[in-house]
Amino acid sequence: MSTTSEKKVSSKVKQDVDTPLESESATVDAAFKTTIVWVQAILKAVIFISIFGAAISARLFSIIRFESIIHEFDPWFNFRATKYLINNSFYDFLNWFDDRTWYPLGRVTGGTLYPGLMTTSALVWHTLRKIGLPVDIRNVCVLFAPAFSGITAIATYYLTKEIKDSSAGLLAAAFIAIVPGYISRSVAGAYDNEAIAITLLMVTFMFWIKGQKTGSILYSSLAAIFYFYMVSAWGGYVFITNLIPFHIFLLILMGRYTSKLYVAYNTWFIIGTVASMQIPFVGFLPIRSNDHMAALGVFGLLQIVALGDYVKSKTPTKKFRIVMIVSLLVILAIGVAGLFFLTYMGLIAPWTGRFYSLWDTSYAKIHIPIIASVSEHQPVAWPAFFFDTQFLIWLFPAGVFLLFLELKDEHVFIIAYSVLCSYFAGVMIRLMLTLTPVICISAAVALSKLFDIYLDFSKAFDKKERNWTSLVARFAVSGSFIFYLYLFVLHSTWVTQTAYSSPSVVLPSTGPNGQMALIDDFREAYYWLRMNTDEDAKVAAWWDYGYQIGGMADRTTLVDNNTWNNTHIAIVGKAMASPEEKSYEILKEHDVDYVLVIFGGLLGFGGDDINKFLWMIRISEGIWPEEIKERDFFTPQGEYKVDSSATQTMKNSLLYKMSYKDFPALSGDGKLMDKVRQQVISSKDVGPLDYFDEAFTSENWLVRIYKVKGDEPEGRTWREVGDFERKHANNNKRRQIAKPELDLRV
Amino acid sequence: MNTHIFYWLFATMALCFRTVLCESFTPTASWENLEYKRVLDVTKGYFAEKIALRVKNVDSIPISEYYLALPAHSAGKVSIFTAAIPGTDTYLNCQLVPNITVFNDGDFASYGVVHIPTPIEPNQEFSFVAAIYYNVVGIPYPEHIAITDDQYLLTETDRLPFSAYRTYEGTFSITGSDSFEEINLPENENLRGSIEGKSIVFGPWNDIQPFEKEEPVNVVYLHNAPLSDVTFLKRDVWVSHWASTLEFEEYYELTNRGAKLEKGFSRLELMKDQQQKLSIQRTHYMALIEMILPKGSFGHYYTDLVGMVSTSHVQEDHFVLKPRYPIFGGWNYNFTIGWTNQLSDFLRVSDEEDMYILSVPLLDGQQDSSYDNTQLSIYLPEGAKIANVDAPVPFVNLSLNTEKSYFDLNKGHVKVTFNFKNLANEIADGRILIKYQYTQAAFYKKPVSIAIYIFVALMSFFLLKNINLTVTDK
Amino acid sequence: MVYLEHQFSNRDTESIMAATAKVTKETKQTKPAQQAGMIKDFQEAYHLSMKSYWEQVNKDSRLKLIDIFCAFLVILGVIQFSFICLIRDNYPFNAFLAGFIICVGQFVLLISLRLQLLNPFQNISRNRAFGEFVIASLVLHFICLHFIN
Repeated sequence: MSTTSEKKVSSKVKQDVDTPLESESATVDAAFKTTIVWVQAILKAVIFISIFGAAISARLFSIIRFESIIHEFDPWFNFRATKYLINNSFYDFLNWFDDRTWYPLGRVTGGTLYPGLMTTSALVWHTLRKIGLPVDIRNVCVLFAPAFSGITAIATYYLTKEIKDSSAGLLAAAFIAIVPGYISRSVAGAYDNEAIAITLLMVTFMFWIKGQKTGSILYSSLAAIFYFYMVSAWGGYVFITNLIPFHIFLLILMGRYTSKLYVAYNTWFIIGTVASMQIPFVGFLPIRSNDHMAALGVFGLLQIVALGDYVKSKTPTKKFRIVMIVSLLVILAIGVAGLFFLTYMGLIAPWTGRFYSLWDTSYAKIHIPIIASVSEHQPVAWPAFFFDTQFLIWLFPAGVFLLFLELKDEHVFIIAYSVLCSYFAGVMIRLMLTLTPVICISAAVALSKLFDIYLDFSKAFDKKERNWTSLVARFAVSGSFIFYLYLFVLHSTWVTQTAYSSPSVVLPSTGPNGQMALIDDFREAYYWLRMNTDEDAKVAAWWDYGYQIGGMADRTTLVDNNTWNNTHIAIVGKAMASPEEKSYEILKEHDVDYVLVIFGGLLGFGGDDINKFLWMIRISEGIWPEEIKERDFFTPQGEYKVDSSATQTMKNSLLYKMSYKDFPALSGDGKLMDKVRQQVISSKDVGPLDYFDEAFTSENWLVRIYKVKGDEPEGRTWREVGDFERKHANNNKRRQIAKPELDLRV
Repeated sequence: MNTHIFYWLFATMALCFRTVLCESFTPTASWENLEYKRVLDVTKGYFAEKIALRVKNVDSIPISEYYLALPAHSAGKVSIFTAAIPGTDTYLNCQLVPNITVFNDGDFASYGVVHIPTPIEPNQEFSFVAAIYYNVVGIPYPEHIAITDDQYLLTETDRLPFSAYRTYEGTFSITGSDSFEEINLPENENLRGSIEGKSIVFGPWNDIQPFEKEEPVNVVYLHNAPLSDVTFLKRDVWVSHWASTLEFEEYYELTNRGAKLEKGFSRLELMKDQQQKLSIQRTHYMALIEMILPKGSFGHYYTDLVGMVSTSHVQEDHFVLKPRYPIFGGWNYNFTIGWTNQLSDFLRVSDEEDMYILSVPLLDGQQDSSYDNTQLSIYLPEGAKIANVDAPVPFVNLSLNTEKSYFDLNKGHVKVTFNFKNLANEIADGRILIKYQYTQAAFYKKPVSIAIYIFVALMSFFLLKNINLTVTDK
Repeated sequence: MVYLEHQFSNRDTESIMAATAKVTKETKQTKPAQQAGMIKDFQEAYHLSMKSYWEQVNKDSRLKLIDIFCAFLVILGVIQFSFICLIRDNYPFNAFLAGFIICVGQFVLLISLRLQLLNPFQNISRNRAFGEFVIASLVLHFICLHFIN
């Protein structure tokens, strides 16, 4: 609630600032001028504080509605890594080999993560302790993203100020503070790399623009240092690595080369590159991978252009022209040939799969099911743009257009940024995040331009020049845009509250009397694992839950969200898709003690394992096309069924049996509707489970944990034991009494 | 190898030591038990034993110490040992002693000594009732049961009065359950127990020699309640003079020592069981944990290692927690709860200047639970000086240090830590008393030091800003 | 305003760029004929630049110093590179990289300084440029030292 009011205040105050800016041109005495400056400074400080407050409080919905908890999947890993970092030295952290994931392979965690996030929060934690605030590390991690989004707003202000002026800056800062597209990845508890990366992105760009504008080595070095920080925090740093050279390249093509560009770019490039190689995960990539070659190429190009520029200043234009063209052609040819040669020789790594999927949206589907199976890597649905940015999305092109009209060097940067990012965001929903800042900046430019003209009521006080029609027009336009701003605030609050504040570990629901209740099955089951299983127990679950099991249940997992080893993931997929006997063998081979499946059929939770089953099958089919066939899981009509018309392969698969064990028996007549798939499961469809024991099932059946049975003491297979017992039980069947139907407590 | 030898040596030495100790001690036979009535109460998750004694001094001199022998299986498990004169409120001074007597079969007896206020003259009689609480409970019998089954426990104990003195008449009974059954019956039918109402009674026996033994009693009884055992309790009490509150935070590591599940867990079976049984009916698994807190508590919270647990509610001074999952036999659970009380309910201002007396209950919490290890810490405000401490039961050790908390810019809160073993909720009302001095100066020192720090920080920020400008304006 | 000036100063460059496409065609068609002329042009351009360069350097001894340092760095870089090529092994690759990059980096920074000494940018005095150069060099050296192990 506070957000709304604060934002309203800030947007109103902003207009107050704009007006004095305009009226300043009028001749006023010096005393009045200084007061105005003071009032402006104070107003600006107030606006900043309220923007900061709005940015943070908008992100606290998740804490208010739920609790201070780490969200989703990846943040759990980051949280675990942070805890490791504060309990061990920094060098231990960098050399951390984690044998509690990817059993039995383990993971060289220290060398395969971006340490920026953990290091920053550990630093914050230590500093707070030093100044007498021994807060829990969890709270530091939970509140990390909101705090940094406040800083993002300030960095955006300075960036936009460089692009246009400070009133546009304030608007941009206010936009970025509450725009849902950014909030989606930075609510309290979203302790992910993006939380810090967007801040760093903005700071780096801000320093870059400053450096590029002034030609100051200092600003470029700062840009390089923040670039290094960004490299240490997020894999998306490649975006900067390519965008800045692209900016320079465009400027050179436009014939806008100056020594300032030379100074700014080279300083940034050299310090940034060598610094980025300090991150173990990045290593020598900056000189090996193709993603970074553009930067290197532009670096070389700049040297030549600089030389050319020097030569040009000394020689007559006409002669220089020829010299330049020839040398450029030669260099270009050598460069391209060299690049091909080096890639061919394997000295430079070819582009990664994720990169290819940026250009060809169907690439992933064909070649790498594991990348395609991540929902973040799906193309964006068009309404999402409006959902995430509301009216900014149509101000955005207007802003870009206005920048085109003026087209200063720094405007080229923003234009390049917006064009590139719009494309990427259309391809991969995750990159919506990098697009959002530029939308805010462009929209702020457009809107502030509009306000510059239409909020100027100075003529209204001047009787001579008063023009009623223009006044009315001004009122209408500015009034409607202020109304749009108000709508934007409402929209953002609503979206944040409803769509982006769920931790996805805890699900909201309504209790019997309409009050809010929480479905806490994930933690229930993870906590059971943590408390009641052996400390070295190995848990097999689909990789989505790997980080959560590591973080909450503190048990060894076979696969997790790091997904670095496709084969290993395929093994788990194969175990899930195979019949029991075979799965038992596979799981025994990998020393698995428990198998965890997610089952949403009782609750209607759509993201469960049966719905992800096709990905498991596809990934394992990629490795064992002989044994696992996707076709076998579809009915002859080509439908994906789980009821009595399901194929035998489906019914025999481990996942099916584990999901539906005892489920139909919940109702009196042995028939129960699966709420996710809207199909009726009956008792006779679900075969008995002989090799696994139910170890735990959570209250709403969302998480089911099975124990892998040990060796049979008499040397029989568990199937034989099961058959024997069933035969025995059949004889006693007559004695059974009909059980009353159970009400479900959901 | 070396370590092996070392351990071996160590073990031998320990043995020697013990032998030396024991052989040196057998209580002199200066008493005779005229009556020895032992009642074992098994209602709770720990054993409560009452021994009503009528004793006579058979020595030639007045004696004031009576040694009560305790069997080996209770050694190191005694929570409370008290003695009182029946019909009055007079409690006798009594304590456990380290001396033990070792028998030929390797078994041993330990002792608690009861100090009688006025020495008993020769040939005079004296009556008292000793109450002993053990952190011991029967073992599940059978060990594995189904979710819907009732839980039975088996206990094994001495049949005859276990005493260092000669006993003329002794009886033994077990109470506290709806059903008792003796198993492994002895050959001699006279020794067998008989059911009388809601208890099983053995004896009476006449003229029993010191440490005379018969076949032990094995009794199976119905105990359809979880055996809640807190293996570790960390209880922190924060005194805040500024907020005038007493904040409690308790971390529990809990185990159900009851019967394990026969065929693994089944949610289906559990749902059926919960439907069929009335909510009042007790079950052998722990679906709810009921904490009893001091009156007037507020600001409750309930969390565990993975975050908040939303299933709890407060009814007056009852804090009802629903654990994340029902705790079956052999399952563990740990959690943290906290609440706040008004300081005035626990703190008294002493007559002396700046002196305060804090009185904190030893335990709050479940009605039926034993506590293996308890660590109770009391955090006094920064700058407090401790004058005296007192605990209602013997503690293993006591330590005094400081710990930094929010805005502790000097030495930190003064922390007094007690370690206890084998507590039972029976003594929850016992009070820890701490007398400490907290001056007005210390009271105001805190905000002043915070203000100074902030001021210094701001000043240095401005200074830095100025310096920075001069550098760049070169 | 500043921006406009700078745009004017760059007008010739722009026109060159605009003409690029056209000229490329021309060069392609008349390449053999113009070959000799081009070499001559090249030589002429080279001589002219060298001449003005020496003039420039002799005017300001600081530039001379910078240029000598630059030359030294180039030589150092070349030596390192050829060493790696000679022994055909780049085992402590990070050490080599650090050594090589610091040469390149320092070179680039020196050139940047040189450019600013010649015509200082607006708002940045020569002294400030030097100060910034020192800071950047320190940062560069620190990172490379760390990299070199």
